[in-house]
Amino acid sequence: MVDFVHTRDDHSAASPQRPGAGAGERRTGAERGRQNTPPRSDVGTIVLHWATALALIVCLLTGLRVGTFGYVTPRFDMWLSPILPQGELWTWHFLSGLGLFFCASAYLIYVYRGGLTPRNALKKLRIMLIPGAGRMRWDAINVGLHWVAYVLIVIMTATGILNYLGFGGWWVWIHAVTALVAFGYIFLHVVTHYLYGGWWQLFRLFRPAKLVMTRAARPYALLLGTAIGLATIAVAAGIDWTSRDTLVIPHINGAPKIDGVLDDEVWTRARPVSVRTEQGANLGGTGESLVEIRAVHDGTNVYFAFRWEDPTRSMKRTPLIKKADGWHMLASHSDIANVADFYEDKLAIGFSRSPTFGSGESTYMGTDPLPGLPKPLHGMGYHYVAEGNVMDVWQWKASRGGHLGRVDDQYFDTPRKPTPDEWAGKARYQAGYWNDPGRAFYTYNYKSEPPGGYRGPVGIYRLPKDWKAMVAALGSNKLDPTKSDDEGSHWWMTEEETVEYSAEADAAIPVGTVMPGVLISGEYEGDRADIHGAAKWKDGHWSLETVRALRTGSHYDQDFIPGRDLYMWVNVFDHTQIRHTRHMRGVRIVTEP
Amino acid sequence: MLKQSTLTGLSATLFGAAVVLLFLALYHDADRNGPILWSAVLLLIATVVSWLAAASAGEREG
Repeated sequence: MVDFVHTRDDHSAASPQRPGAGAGERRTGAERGRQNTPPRSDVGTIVLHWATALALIVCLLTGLRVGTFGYVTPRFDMWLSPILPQGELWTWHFLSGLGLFFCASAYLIYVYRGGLTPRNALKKLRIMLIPGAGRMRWDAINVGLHWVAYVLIVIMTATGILNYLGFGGWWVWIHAVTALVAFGYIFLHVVTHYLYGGWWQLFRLFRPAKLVMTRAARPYALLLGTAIGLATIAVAAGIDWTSRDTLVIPHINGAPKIDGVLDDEVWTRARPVSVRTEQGANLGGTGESLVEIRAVHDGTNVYFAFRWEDPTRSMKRTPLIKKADGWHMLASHSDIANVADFYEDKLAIGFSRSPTFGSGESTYMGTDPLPGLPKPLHGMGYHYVAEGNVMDVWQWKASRGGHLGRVDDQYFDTPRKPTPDEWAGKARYQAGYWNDPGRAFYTYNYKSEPPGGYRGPVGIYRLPKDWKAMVAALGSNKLDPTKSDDEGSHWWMTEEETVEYSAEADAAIPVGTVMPGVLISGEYEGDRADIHGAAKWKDGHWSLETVRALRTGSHYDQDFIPGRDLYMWVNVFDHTQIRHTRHMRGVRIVTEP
Repeated sequence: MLKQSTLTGLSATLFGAAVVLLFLALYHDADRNGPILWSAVLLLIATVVSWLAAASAGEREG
């Protein structure tokens, strides 16, 4: 990788080509006679230095924002949040990472071909041990720091590639921590070069000179380095694109039974695609979940089978507990729509015509990614897309119809106009993320409160007719969101099971009683009712089968049509409201005739 | 032919402007297709050309 400032070798005996002057450094006869003449650096070093510096800084700034969302180093990232960029940063992050690929390969070629290897010879480090080495000691320190930078960039590149391919957990942590160290390195690097040679040591990187052609140098060092660098990123991008997964949807006869059990014969005829997802909340602390996807169609409907890792069956969605002064929300951060404890499991599936980064350019991070519109309550960002790039979003929600045969049909589109309550910060503005037209059958059993709310008793709409039967339906695990809920447990109440809230009915329910936060009433209607599904949890995995018409004709849906490819993203929510897993490369979907 | 010192100054100015525009694009809703980013890219290319020209001018001037 490029050294950030080309060290001046004017004291170096390690420069065999031209004793008394640095390799790659231009010192004319006149300069030798005038020791105070400001130094210059060879033009290749200047070009590659600044290319690396810009790529690295963009990578770091965008990566720190990504880290803010991923909670890798949450406090530090949130502290830095005001100075971090906002918006669709995945593309910037990956393209600047590709820029670092270019710089690294170009620099290697340039240094070797330019005969510049003595510049950063490790044997220079010995000078640090010599008493009274003075200024030369700073030269040695700078060489040492350059090697630290090389190691940091190698680690960041390797772990970045692993993250890109879907390996999360410790790899994400190492990537993030190394990036933070690199952030600090930049300042240290500038200071130590200043201490070595003052302002002119820094300014030399704006003062180009021709590369000195020593005996070790070969011609066209920068040209060849650039060519090799470009070839490297072309190969990397080509490998990335051609190695992306494709989910083929074959035409079959005989539909699978939608029961959440993937034992149908048709699934054996569907070639599965496995997607590594990462950087979500919970999931046993790893934040990772491997999602296996199959799909078939029968000419009328498309059927999907998903199986994903989740160590716990989580059914509780913002339940309530009765205390002496009334009903209280058990979940934390419900006021800012960022619950990660008492929440149901979910799976989101997005279909887009766009294969681009950021889940088809639908993810915009930051505390205020849409200036002039309400800020996201949770400070993480928004989902929305550009005009004409609608993403069809299917969301299976464990306790909001997920065990009653329903999958919510939603979409990402251009940002909506906020309602008065959203302008006032009393309700959650969701930018371009919204529900298909129609109606869902779930509502909430508590009165909505703005940020800062849910700290005390909350208003309740309905109470169970038979609180003992309601408590029995919750199963054995009522108060530990990290443990699995019982199979068959109901963390919702239907309209028929409840009565309107009254103080008299409330008085009959003892303090300490836990009650679901979800109410089910009526039926799904309209476009929103397009998807049916069934799910089962067993042995640390959820299995979900879904069915939808191949073509719905809705503006908010993506149709599955032969010859019209789609790209799919899946996100696992382990009892978390928004902190889902993610993956970087969309899965291409090909529908067979 | 421009002198090396002139080209050095020009390239530093171009580079400074390019960096400002690049970060303006990054901080302007992470604009990836707008004129700000493309202006930054063009200025960066012009900077590299100026650097190469400054190096050549230095060689000519001895």
